[in-house]
Amino acid sequence: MTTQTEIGDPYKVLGLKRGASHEEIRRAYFRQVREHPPETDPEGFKALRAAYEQLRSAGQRAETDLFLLQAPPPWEPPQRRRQATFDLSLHRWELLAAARAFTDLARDDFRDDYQAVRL
Amino acid sequence: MVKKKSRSQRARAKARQAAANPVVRGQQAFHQGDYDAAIAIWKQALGEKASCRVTAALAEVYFRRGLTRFHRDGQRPAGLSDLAEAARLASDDLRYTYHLGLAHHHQGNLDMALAAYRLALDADPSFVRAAELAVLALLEQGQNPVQTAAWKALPLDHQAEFRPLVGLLGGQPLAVASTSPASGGARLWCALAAFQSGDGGAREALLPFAQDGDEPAVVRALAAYALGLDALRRDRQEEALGHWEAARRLGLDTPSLWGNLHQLYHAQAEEAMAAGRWSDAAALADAARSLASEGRDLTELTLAAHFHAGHAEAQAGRWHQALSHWEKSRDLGENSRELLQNLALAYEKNERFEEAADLWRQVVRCRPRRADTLTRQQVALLWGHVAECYRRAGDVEEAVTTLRNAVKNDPDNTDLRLELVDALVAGDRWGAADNELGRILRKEPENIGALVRSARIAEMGWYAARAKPTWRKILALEPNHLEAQERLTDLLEREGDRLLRFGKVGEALECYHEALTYMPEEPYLYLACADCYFDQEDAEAARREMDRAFAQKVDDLDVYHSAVDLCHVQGRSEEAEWVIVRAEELAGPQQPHERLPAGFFLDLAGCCFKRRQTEIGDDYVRRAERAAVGDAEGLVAVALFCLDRDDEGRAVSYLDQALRLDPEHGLANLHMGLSYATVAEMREANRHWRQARRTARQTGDQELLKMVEMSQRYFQTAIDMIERGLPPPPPLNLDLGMFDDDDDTD
Repeated sequence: MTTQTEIGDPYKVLGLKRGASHEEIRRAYFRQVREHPPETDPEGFKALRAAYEQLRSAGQRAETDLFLLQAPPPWEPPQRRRQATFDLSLHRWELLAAARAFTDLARDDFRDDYQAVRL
Repeated sequence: MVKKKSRSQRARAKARQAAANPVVRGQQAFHQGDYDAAIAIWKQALGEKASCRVTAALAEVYFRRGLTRFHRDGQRPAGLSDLAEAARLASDDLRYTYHLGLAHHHQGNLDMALAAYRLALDADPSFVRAAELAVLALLEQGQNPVQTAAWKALPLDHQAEFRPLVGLLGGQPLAVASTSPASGGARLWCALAAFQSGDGGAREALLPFAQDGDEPAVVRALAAYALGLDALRRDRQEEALGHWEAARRLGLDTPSLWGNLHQLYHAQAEEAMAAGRWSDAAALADAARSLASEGRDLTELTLAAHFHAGHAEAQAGRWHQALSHWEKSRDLGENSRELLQNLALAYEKNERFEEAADLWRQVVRCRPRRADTLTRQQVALLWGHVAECYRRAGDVEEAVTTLRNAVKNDPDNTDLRLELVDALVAGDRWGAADNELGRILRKEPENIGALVRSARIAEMGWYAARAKPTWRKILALEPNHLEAQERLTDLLEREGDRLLRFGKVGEALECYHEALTYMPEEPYLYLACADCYFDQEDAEAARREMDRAFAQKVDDLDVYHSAVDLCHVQGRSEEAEWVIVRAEELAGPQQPHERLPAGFFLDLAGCCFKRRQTEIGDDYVRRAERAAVGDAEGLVAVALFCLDRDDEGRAVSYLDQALRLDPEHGLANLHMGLSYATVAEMREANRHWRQARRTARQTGDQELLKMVEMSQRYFQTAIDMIERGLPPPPPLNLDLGMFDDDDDTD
């Protein structure tokens, strides 16, 4: 059984917007069929036909609309533009961490500090 | 006179004495790196007898264990304690004092570290390492070290290296050109000083540090971070991002780096959103949130970016990616009906029906309730879709529950009610399904879908024939309904067979005749009628029915076979012969050798032998032998029949004839090989099996290939076992499936 949701967006197939009128749907279908006649583009025609069938009657269209992909609300940036605040200075701890790298604090092997045991 | 000891005796005695000496034992443990044992032994030795040398040795072993524990094993408090003990035991050894200070320095105990460094410097003012770290500790404490003893203990070149850092930390950076230091540290401080003072050459001075893999990671990271700051000052966000990410990868972990990266990612995400680059925006917003997730603005931007990115992916048919974006949106708190519906669609596309069903359910539940939005029929459709997803997920219970909701919203929708019936049947709730069908049929007595389901349910009951009137009604309404035709025919045929068993021949005949009105092309129904006519001693009518059966499938040998068999069961040899003549006339010319094949007669023979009609069976075998002449397939079939009846001599003769006609025949070679193998002529056997394998590979006959391999393996094993004096394995069973012993003769 093919479910409603397995069929793509018929408006997109017919190159229409969601709110298109019945007349617009009809005209878009016939215009597209002229561009994809069944003799030369049987697959394209099949897709057009299936899309048209989904939107042909008001009842079928209402049913189709129930299972369509929903567009997200348009993105509206915050009204007050956010000002990015960067810290552009070098801090003591950053410098001191680097300074440590040049000293014994960056080492973990001190075997050269061992001395022989004489008993 | 005392006997003089040999050299080896003296050596052994010395070893015994040494083993008894704790100082020596401690030394052995020390050399083996077993510091715990060395400490224990030497402490014991010191307890027995004080010794400066042992004390010094004990200090060294504490020192070594302390360093290992502190720097390698992550046991910092224990390491610190060992180092303190070493310094206590040998307070004049500045190494121990220095390392105790170093350990405190690591731990952030700057006062204690400084105290240790000063102690070392007091004892030896030329101890440069102590002076360096003392200066660094002072800087870390926020002090100016320049006038201190530690600073003065530094050689001039070391002072020159530290001076730019001192300047940087004191807020008075020295310009790059003012010094020309040689060491890496000093060059870094000068480069950073240039950056701090806004010098244009800072970038060139810092780049070598960031790019030189030989520099310590922390130095490279700091240089990269400063380069990022420099890039941002010049408003080059991409460049800054690259440097800061490099700094992060190098291990720089400072609040300012994280804060700056967060700000930068957030700003870039905003730009990407404004430009409609949804996927980029989503990735950048995620990166910003990974650094600091607080902030309502950022959360809203992130969920919107993922919502849009998911929508774009779905429109391009990339549902897996769409799902991943929408899941993130949902996890961030987006719960609009639009997102839930898209998520449900994406789960469906990804065949995750359980999740899809749950989401569709939420979509229906959070639907707008205003009267002008969704009609009750549309709500019912949505519920129906929820149920469909549950059905696909295998959750029959939920499918039933949600379909009931659908029916409640659109009680006149018969299709929905029928779906409910199907769901109830799938859940083995036959009674409920029957009740639902009753409701439909009361309203629409001629609804074909309901009638078909009703008949199917009736057939599931203890008396399947109860379904007959319903199937008849369906056929009255829709005469070409294929399922009704097939089911009714089947029920009538079974009813006829039952009646025939009880001797009610006339009634059985009526059933078969009615069945033939629905499926007049079914040859076995005519044979069933012929059976009835034989019972009524009307051989003429039986022949007429059999002829009708043959007319339905003229070249189907199974029909003739069933007819001959039927005649023999009825003890009608004359009619059986008539059937064979008809088969030769009608089907013979259609066969590969334009005559009835050997296999046809062999099948008949097999059935006769099962019924103990031996003479007739033998006659069919002879006919098979005649039919096989010049036909390799037929000869092999006869050979296999002979093998099945343990007549190996005749089998070999037929195999031989078959191989003369077709030397590459796979089965013939397999069985000829087996015959040779049973008399231990393995060379000949292998020659035939090689040919059989070649044929199997050429024809792609995997079964034959498997049988050849099994045969070879079996005989190899058998020979091995016999040679080792073991009993041979049980006989080989190659199930050819050609002459089944099923009890289907009646």
